[in-house]
Amino acid sequence: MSQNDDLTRTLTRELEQRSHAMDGTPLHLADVQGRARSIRRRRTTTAVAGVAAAVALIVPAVSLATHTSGKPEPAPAITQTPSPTQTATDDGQQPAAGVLDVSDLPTGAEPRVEYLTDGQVLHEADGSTVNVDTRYPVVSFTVLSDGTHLWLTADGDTPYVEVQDAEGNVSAPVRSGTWDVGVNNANTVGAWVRPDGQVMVRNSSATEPLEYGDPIRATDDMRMGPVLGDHCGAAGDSCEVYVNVSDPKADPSWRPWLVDVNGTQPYLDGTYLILSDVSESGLSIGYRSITDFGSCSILLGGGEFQGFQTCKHALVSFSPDSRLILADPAYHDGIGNGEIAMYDVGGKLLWDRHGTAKAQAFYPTAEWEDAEHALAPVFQDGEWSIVRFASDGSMEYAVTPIPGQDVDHPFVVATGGPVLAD
Amino acid sequence: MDRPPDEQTGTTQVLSGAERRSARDLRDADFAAYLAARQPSLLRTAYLLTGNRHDAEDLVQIAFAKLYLSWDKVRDHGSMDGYVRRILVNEHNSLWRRAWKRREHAADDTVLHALDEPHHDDHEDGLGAELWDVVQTLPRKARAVVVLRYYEELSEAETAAVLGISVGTVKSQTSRALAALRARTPQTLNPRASEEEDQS
Repeated sequence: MSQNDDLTRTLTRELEQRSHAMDGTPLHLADVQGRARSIRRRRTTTAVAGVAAAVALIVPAVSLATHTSGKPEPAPAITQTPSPTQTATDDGQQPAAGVLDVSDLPTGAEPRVEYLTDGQVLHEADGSTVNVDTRYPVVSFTVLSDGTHLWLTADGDTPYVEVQDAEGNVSAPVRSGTWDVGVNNANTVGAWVRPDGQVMVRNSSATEPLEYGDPIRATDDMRMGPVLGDHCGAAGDSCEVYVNVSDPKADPSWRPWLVDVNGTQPYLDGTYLILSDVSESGLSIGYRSITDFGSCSILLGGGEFQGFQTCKHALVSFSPDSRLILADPAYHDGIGNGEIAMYDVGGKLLWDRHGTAKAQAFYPTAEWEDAEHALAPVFQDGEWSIVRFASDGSMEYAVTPIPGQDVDHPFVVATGGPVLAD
Repeated sequence: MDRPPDEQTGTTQVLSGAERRSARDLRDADFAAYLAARQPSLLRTAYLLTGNRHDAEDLVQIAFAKLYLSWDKVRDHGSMDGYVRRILVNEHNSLWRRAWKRREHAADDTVLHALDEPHHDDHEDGLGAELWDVVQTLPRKARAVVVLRYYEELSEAETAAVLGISVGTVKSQTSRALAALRARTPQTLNPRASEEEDQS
């Protein structure tokens, strides 16, 4: 018997004995389901934060990045308060102001952007349906102006990008380093990141994706930021792709990276931790601070335009006409977003709705449908629906409720807003 | 969840709300039974990987949560044990998790200290205790190799599959880990030291 045998035998015996420090079955199904919700949520949302402080305040304007073209102007004040779509039925009713209760809403028009049901049935904007032929279930997707679909799919815990061209041909899955895909305002450029940090772009009407710039410093938590410019990769293109990168060893632990014609580098303008969106007029929104106890978001402009800061909500995305901002909770955790709000770009909170003890509604993500409406899959009381939120705070069903499980939402709404065909 | 297409009509019938809830209840019951059966074993492995009860429970909860999200697919393939063990080990090795746990420990070391004292028989103190101390100082991937090879008693190929590394890497990690253990444990388990003693 060798002494190596003695060592490994003693080691095995010791490990066996030590392992008995753990006994019992402390975990129950409810614990696991709760943790599963958090994991699902982490895959589908765009930031982590802590409990929100509550005061909105005005901060001095800070000149935006050098990438802005022209002089951004403050958007005009909202003069109308649009209601839900004209086709809404008289059935159902609006809950009290401030309450996110979707149990009995009027029914409006079908979504005017594409959405997916059960991971495979695509509902197109004209109302037709078609089966999606991706290898893995779809987690999120965006549509380019030529009809190309960029599907972010998942094989268990591994995200992939599958590209479906305008003729319906789906490419073989390629590994993605993020759980989302980015798209520019005109839906002419889609972008994602490979696990090695290489940004990939797909131009509308192109036949293949392109590597864009040098790889960013990859980590295991990268999230797509804005994509600017109408075309990427050709000489003369002013294309910018932002990727928000988490590095727990760094300070700060989040930082946007910018890939453009000047190279690949951390994006320091505006001192953002996470850059969420940039408008056509050059305004930008994102996280300024993230702690265990709160997060604060800012809007930055240019020239004489004053930005603002809020620690009550996280500023998520601009409306297609850049007049409004969609916001969700400053604290992202638990089962999903239990609060949704809209601001104007001057910092005025237009409305805010949140769940209550009686109406425990939540949604994974919300997307702009047009300049005045947002869509979100919402879960409440064992049912999922797609709810349309108008800029006056009113709600209606864009897709009526169906039974479902809280961790398995059946609806995925396209990111990137309405698509204008080439 | 839809029914399969009807053979005669070719149509697909949509399940009613009650049927969906019933299917979900069955799925959850199925998962709960697996959770109860496999939890003790997975907790023991997690304890050896993490070295403390708190992290072990957290790690196992994450592993089961990820299994829950993929339950239908994994169950159909009958590969739950391997799947959940792979999640457990790789989750423990992930960069994000290491950084996160460091922050938690910095804030809660005092509370955890009492929970960290393992139960073991007095007669095993000494040699085995020293081995355990050394195991806990190994780099995470090396510790995972040791636990999989000498506690789970997986082959080199099986260990490589769980960790997503080559068999050669498993061999070299194992060799280095054993060398570290030999170098820091008593002479009776250190061939080189014993040889030197014999020569003198």
